[in-house]
Amino acid sequence: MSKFQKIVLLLIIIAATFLRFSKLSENPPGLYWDEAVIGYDAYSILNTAHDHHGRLLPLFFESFGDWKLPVYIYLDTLVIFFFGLNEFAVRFPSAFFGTLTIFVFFLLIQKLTKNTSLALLASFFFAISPWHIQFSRAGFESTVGLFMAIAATYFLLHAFEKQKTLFFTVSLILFTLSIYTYHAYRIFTPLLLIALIFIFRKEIKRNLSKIIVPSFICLVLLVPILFFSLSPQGRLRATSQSVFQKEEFERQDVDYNQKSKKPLRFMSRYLYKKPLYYSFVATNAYFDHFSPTFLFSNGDQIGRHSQVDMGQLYIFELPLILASFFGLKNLNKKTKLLILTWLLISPVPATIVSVTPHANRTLQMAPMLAALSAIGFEYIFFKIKPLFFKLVLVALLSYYFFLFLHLLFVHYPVKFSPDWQDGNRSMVHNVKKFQDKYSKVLILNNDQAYIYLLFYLKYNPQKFIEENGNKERFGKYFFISTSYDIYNKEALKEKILYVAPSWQKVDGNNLTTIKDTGGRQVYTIWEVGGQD
Amino acid sequence: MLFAFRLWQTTGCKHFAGFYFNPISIKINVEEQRNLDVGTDIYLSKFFHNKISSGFYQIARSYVYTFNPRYILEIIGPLGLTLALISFSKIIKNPKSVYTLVCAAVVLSSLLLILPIDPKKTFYINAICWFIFSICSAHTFSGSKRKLILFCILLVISFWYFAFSWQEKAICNEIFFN
Repeated sequence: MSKFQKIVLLLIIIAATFLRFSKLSENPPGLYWDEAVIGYDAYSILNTAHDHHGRLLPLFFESFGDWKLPVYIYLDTLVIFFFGLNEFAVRFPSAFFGTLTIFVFFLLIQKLTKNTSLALLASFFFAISPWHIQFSRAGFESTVGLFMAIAATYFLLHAFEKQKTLFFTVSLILFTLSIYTYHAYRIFTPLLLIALIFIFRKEIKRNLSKIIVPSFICLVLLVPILFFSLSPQGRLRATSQSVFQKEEFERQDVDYNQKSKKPLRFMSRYLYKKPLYYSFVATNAYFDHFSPTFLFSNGDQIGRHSQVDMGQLYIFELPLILASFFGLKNLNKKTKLLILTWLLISPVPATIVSVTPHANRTLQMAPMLAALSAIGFEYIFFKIKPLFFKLVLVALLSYYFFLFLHLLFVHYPVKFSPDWQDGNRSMVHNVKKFQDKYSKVLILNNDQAYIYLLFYLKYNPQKFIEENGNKERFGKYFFISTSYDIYNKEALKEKILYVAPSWQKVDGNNLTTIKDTGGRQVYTIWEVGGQD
Repeated sequence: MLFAFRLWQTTGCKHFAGFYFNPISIKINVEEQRNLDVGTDIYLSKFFHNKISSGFYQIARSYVYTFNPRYILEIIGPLGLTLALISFSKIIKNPKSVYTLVCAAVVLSSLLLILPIDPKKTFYINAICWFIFSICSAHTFSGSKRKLILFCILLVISFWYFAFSWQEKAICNEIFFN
């Protein structure tokens, strides 16, 4: 690797750091409840060695409608120790490992292709990938999981070269950690391992004696998650969001019997079998992730997962990826196989749950698509002669990159603040400002408001656990439902502070109005009661 | 025969899905985007959100939709898709082959889908181009017993896929059989 290439790599990593860390606390504009609970659980572990539900050093963390895996939360414990409990600390592991992934990805592509220029190009495309930047800038466990998977693959290839047990151990432990980081990797990592075993079967056979012991250690480490996966808690998310709904199958079956083409209706009893129907649904869900609409024009329609006004990738990557199929001819068979297999197995975790396409569960696609873009770019840039095409390509790349920056830093905080439950930080700061005069604070319990109070007040976790705090009350904070009558005689005897959603009319003294970054009214804060 | 079966299935379609690109979407998009540029320099806003960049994006958006795998699967099924991929791989191996010509026909017929032409006609033109592109590689499955078995399996899967997707949601807005 020449000095120039080293400088280029350093510049890429600096750019990646800027894109992932710049304005991290303010953009995305609010802290989503999953991030808030990750942060508070980490804070609670740091201070009490218990999560906020009172479980001692849990391996699986109860969240909202699912159970979180441990790696991100324990990593965040360290970060909160240094930076305190705030948005930056919650998002730091994701941004940090997101940046580190660029470097590890460079090493992996270099190892695979033995072509430093191509590896630099691939890491450049990955560093500016809108898909990866989006997830690196928030507390998503998928970015850390992706780092583990890429680093594990790199160390495995390195181990084949060096033939040292240490590297095999590091690789297999990283694979195991990826499984403990994000749910999608419970499916992706085993599939990737199967693919790697198949592609590098000769190397594995040669080093079998060095692999056995680390494999055994990892299998033992995997036992808890295996039991967890089989438990109702482990299946909670998959069950609640499963695409395999019996009711939907029955509805479709009736529809087919009544409305399909007449001569075919009699075949319903043979055709409409549940496993066949479910395979049909899963096939469609799988292919949705290769849809050009998802990749290049609209992206994931969940505002937290993409810019929505553009695809998961830049539109200029479409011709690059198409050209990459010509460029792939120049790579060795194993590299080709690994890149394509990685890409093909990436959407599998998202095929069993709705909604599809889902950018978070398929983040694994992003690095290999960046690699294909790099291969395509190299092919076009170095194989096609006319300078005009090269200039157009560079101009397009620059224009769309700056457009993405504009969307990310100017449009995104304004347009997608509701997706990030923005307004809660301001709400809690105002509660803090007014609360001293009141013995009770009532808050309408939508969007898990209690976790924001815990997070932004930095409420003592020990106290929360000891007073049996929960999502309905802790301290003087009460989280009420819409049916709760705040005007009942008992409540009116004393003045209370009431945090109402923006749509609710309240008979009381309005203290302040809370707005989000986009200027939308989110909460109003009232003084209610106090009359005799 | 499989493709004829699929075309026969489309006879109940009352309204074919149109991918018609509406030029008014450019103006709407530009205005929408500029409204979000609060406190941004007007020239910078115009640089990023103008009729040229938005027009290109909106046309590309309509056009790439015609290559969605779900849409292609509904036209040619799993067997057709496999054959189409084989045809594409042959273009990669030899760009100067007849496959390139047929592929160009597919690309052009997809362009017709976004023009304000009767969606029924453009669908059938596009579907036939896809069928031809797939059929070009059908011979790949001849020659050995194993390949023939694979072909038969894909044929059955395609028939089953067509039966399940009888509503042809990506192709047809409203389908009705008496």
